[in-house]
Amino acid sequence: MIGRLAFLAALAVPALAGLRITLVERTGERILNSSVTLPAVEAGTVAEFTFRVRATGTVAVKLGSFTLNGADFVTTSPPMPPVSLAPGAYVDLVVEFRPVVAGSSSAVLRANDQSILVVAQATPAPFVRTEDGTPLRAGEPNQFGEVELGSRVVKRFVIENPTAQSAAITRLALAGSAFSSQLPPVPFEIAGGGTVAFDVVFEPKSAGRHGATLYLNSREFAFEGSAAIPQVARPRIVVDPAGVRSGQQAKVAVKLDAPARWPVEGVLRMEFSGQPDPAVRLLSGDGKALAFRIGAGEDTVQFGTASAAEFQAGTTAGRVTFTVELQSHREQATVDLAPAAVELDSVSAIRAAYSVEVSFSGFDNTRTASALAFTFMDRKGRTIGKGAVRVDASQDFRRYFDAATLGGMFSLRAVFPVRGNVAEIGSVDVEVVNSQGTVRRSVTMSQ
Amino acid sequence: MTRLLVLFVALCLSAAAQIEAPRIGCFVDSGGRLRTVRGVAGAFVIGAPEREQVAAVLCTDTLTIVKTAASLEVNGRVYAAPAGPAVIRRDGHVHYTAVDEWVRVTPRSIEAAGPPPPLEPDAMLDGTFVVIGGKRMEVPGRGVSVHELGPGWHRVVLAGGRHVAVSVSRERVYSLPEVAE
Repeated sequence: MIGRLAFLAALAVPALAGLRITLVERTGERILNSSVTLPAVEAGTVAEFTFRVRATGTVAVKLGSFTLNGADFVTTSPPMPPVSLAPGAYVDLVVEFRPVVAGSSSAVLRANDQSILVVAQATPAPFVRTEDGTPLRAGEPNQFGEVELGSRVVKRFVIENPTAQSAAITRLALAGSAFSSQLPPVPFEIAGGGTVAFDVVFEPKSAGRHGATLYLNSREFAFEGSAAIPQVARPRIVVDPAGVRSGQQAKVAVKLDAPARWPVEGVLRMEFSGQPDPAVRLLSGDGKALAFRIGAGEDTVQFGTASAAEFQAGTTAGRVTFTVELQSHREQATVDLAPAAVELDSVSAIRAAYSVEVSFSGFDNTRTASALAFTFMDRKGRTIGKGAVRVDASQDFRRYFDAATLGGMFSLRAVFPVRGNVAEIGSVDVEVVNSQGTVRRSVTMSQ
Repeated sequence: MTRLLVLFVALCLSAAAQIEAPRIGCFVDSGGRLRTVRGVAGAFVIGAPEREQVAAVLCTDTLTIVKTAASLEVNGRVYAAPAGPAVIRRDGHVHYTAVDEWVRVTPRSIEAAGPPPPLEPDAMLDGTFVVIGGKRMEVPGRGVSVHELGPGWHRVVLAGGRHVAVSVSRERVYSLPEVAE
């Protein structure tokens, strides 16, 4: 240190004409020539100093460099030379002196070809170090690394009194929601050469970066860490019942191969490949997508308060594809809605004075309904007339389905004029044929 | 051999029969809008709002009665009516409660009437059960309201806003699609 001081003193030259270097103090500027000794500070403290270079002549001066280099010094707002300084104009260089341990530090302040030796003293004071002895540096956060949410990192730190005398600790606190510590209550004394250890726990509750500040008397030390959401196990889509058919309502659940370690959210989507049918949909939300959440320790997602989402398969043959988007997972399951014979949901037959009205509703998921047959029976179950009244309704159904916007559902109402005693008609068998087969339903007459 | 002669007068369906989308019924949503439910059991489609500011509605096979702010619509025909709420009974009687007046509505007429004999309520709620026509059926939640949706169908609104359709003849409860309010 002494040798370096002597060398720099030899290099020192009077202030160059036109440039003056000063140390900005509370009471004014102190002109610097070859060296300056800064006010002593406690080890572990961050002290800010401002150096100024000013053009003092009558003509502008070009400032090509203005720097300070030395251990324990950090430039916080470096100027951006070259700068042309008009007469009287100046540029500031703000530096922080961050002594970690007690002792002397030096640095060289340069402005163009002028050099100033900067000497600073750090007085001994209690400081914080890691368990392995590395002192914490003010302004340089101690890193806790990245942890997964739901887990924690514990690091041990030590407050050490490097002096021979007892030191009072009047302030010791930790601020930062993701960090915690059981710190000894203040005030307390640390004997000369003594230590006090404490643990800091990093246990974040949200993803992203987290920070904390440890206050030790007038000094501050920073902690940093980051948190990531744990990857969940692969989701599986479970449709219940498995063999869903058109016209049915069913449930779809999403289960994980292993319980989630942290709450996560995802989306279930339902898409239909087939002729458009608004009845094919999830029964909640907009029918196409539903947000879900899974709690920590759970292996089944929750749609609101339900453990499964309800859906209806509609009235059109096709393929339903469920897609689960959960973190990086994108799992799919398909439900094939096979073409089927017409399904009749309700059939009714009503007698009037001179006619019978037969109504039925149902769906044809192939939209190929064609032939109809109505067989009337008397009250003893005997066929009336020559048997079934057959109708080719293919054109009518085609027209209806071509214009329909509600999938394969339909209702049909037919009126049959009757000559004779209507009351003798006891029942009617209805047949509907489509490309997949024939459906038959018998219904008793009502008034 | 029966003496009856049954004639199917039109082999072409268009003359004697009609195919259309099946209607389950209708209801007034929480925003006071008339909604029609079409479909079959297990496959429902709730239509877009058809009327705003609807006070009451009744949908049967032959009648659609809609009480709006100051009119009564019967199968699409609009009649002047006292302003305010109304109660529409399933027998076609309409009670304008603000003025305590009754009318009786049929598919072809609307006429003033006196207070009709009280009707037994056709549906009641009992916690997570609904009792319809004497049949007690469980619904997937606590019922908040129940009303006739259409012939053979009741709509139960559950706590939380979810709604279901109940069919007594099928002894089944179906979820209805969520309505965009």
